[in-house]
Amino acid sequence: MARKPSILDRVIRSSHKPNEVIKNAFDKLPHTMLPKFVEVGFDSYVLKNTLYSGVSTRKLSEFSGLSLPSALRGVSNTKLFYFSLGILKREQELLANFVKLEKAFEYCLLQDDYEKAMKVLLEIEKVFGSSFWTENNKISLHYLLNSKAEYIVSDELKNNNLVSVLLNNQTGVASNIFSKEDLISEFIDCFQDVEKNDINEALKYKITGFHPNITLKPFIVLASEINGTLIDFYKVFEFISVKSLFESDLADIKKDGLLFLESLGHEITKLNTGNDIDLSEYESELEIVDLYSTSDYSTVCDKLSVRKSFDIGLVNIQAKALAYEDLRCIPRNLSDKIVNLLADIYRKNSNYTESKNILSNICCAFKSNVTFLALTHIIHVESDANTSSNSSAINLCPIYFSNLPTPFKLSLVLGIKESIEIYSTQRPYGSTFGLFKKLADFGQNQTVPDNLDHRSIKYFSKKLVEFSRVDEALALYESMDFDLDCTLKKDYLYTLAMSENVLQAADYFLHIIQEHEQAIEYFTLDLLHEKLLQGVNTLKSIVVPLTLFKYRLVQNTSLNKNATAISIARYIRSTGNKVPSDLGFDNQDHRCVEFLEHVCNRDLLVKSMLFRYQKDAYDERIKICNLLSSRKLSNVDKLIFESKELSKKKVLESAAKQVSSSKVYADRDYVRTNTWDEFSEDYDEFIDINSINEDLEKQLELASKHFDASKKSTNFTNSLVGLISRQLSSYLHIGDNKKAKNLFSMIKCVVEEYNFGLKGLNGYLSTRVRHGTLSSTLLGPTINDGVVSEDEITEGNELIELVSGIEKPLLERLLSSQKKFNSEIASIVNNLRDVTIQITANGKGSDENAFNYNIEPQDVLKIQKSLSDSPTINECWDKIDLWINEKTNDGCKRVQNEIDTIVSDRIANAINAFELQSSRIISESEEYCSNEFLLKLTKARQSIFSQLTVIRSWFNIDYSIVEQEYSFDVVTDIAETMLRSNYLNSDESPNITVSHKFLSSMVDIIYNLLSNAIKHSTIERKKLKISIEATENKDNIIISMINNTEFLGDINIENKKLGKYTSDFSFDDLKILLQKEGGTGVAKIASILKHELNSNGHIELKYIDKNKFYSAIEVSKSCGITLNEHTNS
Amino acid sequence: MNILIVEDDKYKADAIQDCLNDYLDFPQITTEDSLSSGLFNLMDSPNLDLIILDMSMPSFDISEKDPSGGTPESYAGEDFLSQMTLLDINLPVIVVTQYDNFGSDEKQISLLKLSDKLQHDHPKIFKGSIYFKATSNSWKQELIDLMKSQGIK
Repeated sequence: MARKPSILDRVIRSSHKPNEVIKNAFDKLPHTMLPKFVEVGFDSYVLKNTLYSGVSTRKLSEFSGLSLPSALRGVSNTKLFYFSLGILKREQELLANFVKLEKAFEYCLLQDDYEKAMKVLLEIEKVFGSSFWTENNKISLHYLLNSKAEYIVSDELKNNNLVSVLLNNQTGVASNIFSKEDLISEFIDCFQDVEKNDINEALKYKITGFHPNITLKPFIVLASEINGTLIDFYKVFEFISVKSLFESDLADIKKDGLLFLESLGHEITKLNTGNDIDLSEYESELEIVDLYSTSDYSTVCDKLSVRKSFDIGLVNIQAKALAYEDLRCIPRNLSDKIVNLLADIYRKNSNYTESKNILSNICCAFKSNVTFLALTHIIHVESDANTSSNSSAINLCPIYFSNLPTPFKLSLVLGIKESIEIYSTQRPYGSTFGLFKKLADFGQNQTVPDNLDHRSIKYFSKKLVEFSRVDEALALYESMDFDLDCTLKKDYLYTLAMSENVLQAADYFLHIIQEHEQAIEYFTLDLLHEKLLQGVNTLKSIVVPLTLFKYRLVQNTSLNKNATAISIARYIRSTGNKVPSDLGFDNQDHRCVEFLEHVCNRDLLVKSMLFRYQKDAYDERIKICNLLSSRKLSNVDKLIFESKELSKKKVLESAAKQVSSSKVYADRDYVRTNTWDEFSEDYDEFIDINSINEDLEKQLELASKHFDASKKSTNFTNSLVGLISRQLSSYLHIGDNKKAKNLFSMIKCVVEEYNFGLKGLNGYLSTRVRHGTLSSTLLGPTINDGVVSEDEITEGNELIELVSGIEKPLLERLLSSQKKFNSEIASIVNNLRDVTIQITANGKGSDENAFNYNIEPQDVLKIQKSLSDSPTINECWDKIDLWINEKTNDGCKRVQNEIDTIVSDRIANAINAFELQSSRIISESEEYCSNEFLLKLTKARQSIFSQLTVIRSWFNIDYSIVEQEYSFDVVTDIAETMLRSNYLNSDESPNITVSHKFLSSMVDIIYNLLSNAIKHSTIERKKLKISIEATENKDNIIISMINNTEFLGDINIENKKLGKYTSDFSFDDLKILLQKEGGTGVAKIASILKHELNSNGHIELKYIDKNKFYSAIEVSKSCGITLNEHTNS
Repeated sequence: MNILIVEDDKYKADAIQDCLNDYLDFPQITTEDSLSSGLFNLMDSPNLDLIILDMSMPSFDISEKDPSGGTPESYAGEDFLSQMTLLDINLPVIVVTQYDNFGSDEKQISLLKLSDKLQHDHPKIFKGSIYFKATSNSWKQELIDLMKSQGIK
């Protein structure tokens, strides 16, 4: 009797088309049968030479793409997994060999035996052919071995466009392996705006692997990898199976995934499958764990300093022990370097950010290896405050990825009871088991044992918090010193936040952040933030605004900002003061200084509701700047600059001397103030690096050349480049030239704030142009006339009423025509608003946007070339500002050009078509129709084009700002506003004009002269008289100031002393004196003359007599200063 | 019914006021032009029943002391809502906005995203948002419908 065909047979024979057979398999077979289906089916004639079976032998050069094969779309995750399992089972022996070789590769890599590691990779390639896995690792190894030379991809791979682009990206990553920028954060920014589809999921995986900070659909990636090679396909399967250890939504596939890995001899399955554990095999390692459990960190450091293996559990313990002892091991190899980097991350010291970024970049370079996946998880947990929902959860990654059978590990794999049983039988001694058992036996109402050591207190405190015995937990924390243990600090902070004492928690938070400022994201607990927000109306302490202000780095929300502002007001009122500048404080009170300098910034003062007028808020800010700078507290230069810019704003606005009425605007002063700290940091590094400009130029020229080449690729490649973002791509192209990278960072920092900051261009374009104003300006009159309307066009429409009496069919055609016209007008406006008048910068936006601030290597080169050999920070700022100005002007020209051409043409065509159609329709009517209808259309045409001219004028380029000149009383007004003084009579101001370019510098000089006059005069303030004069001296102008005084000593001796201040300063002398004066005074004036005005003019200080003091500067006329006729000299 | 309209665009403020006058019986309507004057009015007026709020507006009114007015704030409306939430002022707020959009299909997404965010952050007071367009009257019916659905009459 013939055997009845099984369901499997029926499916395999169900069609001649492979995709249909596969689809039928997914539809009709349970997931458990899919491996069998693959085993049998892939040998059948239908499926033999297909995409699916081809994965076993496919070469990287044959990689066909990222899109999901059609038969796999919509398939459940579980079925996909088992289907893939079936494919991999066919190559079990091969893959077992790969796992062995991979282990060898990793060992060589971590032991710094790079050449041997490369040999292993080549051997893998001989057996399996090339894959993304081998190529990525080869590229990364190449840059570890020899960072200068470029990695050359083979011709075979270059011919595959997609492969070539992806490997090019890997080159970018690997060449920046020791960069201080965190590449993952850059990638995350790029991915944010990208369309969510399957191809981009697969692409994200190719770029960053399975990173915990990047949301990926792992099964989509798995399905997509069927297009690739066996190794790459296996790697995704491996990662999913490994992640099933700690991700509960992968529970369905965990058992079979791990079993398969176990069959390959995979390391991770050694203990995670729970089979036959013999603790005696691990005695030496468990001894070390016991030492760690008794807080004997120094012995742990000693013993692990000679560690050979890279068990993640041991590495983790070693890093922590080093952190607690504040030690580092001698870096014999990459393995030790990683431990030291981890120790910095645990210690959260001054190296924290750099170490975190470097380790993250190393992991990104070697992303296709499980060990580095484990490390990324550790970094993730150690740099985020809220990864665990409560303080008792711990980072499970090192446990799962480790082959140390600690009691806790066994409890995760087998259960607490089983773990205790194994240990009680095999290893009942040992402090780790002792502690574990005590904790397991500790019940809700039990008393905490006495004489606990550091590690025991840590775990018992967590238990108490779990049992909501918060006060006891706090007492336990407070009984020990955990100065070097950041995890404990966070746990303690969490417990404080849980208690009723929010202010104490905030105070402790500030205390921690003082030491660990770089790791602020690790301590910014959501719980504390919520409690502060809830209590902001009632809590009255300086710690509240300070803490909320710190939180802005991770909670940059309107709620946080406004809460900070409200808390400023609450605190100030509680001190009995009206405004912050009334606060009395000691110079040593750092919190108060920080509160005044940073928290009471312009923006928050405005939102604090302490002031009904902007002028008052600004005055208060000026007062705070003066208060702090006069007491030489904090960054005096920055404060004076801020005071000056606010004063300038006030004076120029109130005197109607505001130069710009263009709608294209960004608050440059705010931009500068807001970015100054970050800009200064990058500047300090830029200026510090000892490299000659010639070398820098060559590097940038090379980068520009390569970057240009990438833009000439196909559309598809461009879209990939777009995904990675031109911005990041250009950064990576700059390579390892640190000076260029610093310059790039400086530019980027300003561009970001200028465009997308609180007072940036985009915000103003939005509120002043796009936000309703554009359409209502353009179409307002035509709306009133009924010609344009987005409502349903009906017979009652004003325009249509003009042709009342017309036959119904004609009326309907007329209505339809008007609708079409309206639709076209709306489309024109929408395009102008949503595409043209938009910004592309730092990877956001598109090429169609008129305002383009993308930074490319040629831009960096251009700016660098314009700088002098030793540029000051102000010079750097000015050059970047100029570049931004040029870009803004280019953007304006593009908008105007678009209006003049495309927009005008489209509008004209739309109106012409409507007019023509209307005229034809009306002429068909046998009834009399007035011409009013057509006249209205003519009027509408005139109106729209007239309004278009108005809109065009919004984008007039600000030539005026460059050519603007100011009278001298503007300079003195600003200086006096900064000082809140009123000594100078503006009617007696010298008849000098100052160009816009030098306004700031002149203000600084007059401010310093005035400030010194006020400071050093011994006259009572209300009797102080100060006057300014100007005279000509050949090509120079002398600006002199005289104030009354009462000098008691010998003026000849004093004048001799003053003379030495006014001789030519050498660079070093100037620097020393600047530091001594704290950024104000004679040296400051000399510095401005020399570096900002490029003038060799001199300064003169002297007593004319005992009652008159004279100060003067001489400045070249080429400094944009003109002495006009009828001076008051 | 006492209503506060916080809106700096006179044309739009008038249009909203007309709409409210048509729908409600003799509402007492006050208009403020800026974030701060809106907030001060809110603190000083204990009997408000409803707030109609714009999203973008200047921080301060034009006045003698501030001849150019305050600096424009793109998300002043959000700040207004935040202050209300933090100060526990529970009054219904409807946002009527010409919020910047990114294309006709994405307009809805933009407005939806905005509404979702405001709903999430200010669940007690935010009642909904209306897209105001000068070239259409549809926003009026949407406003009335929203007020009806919230029992505001």
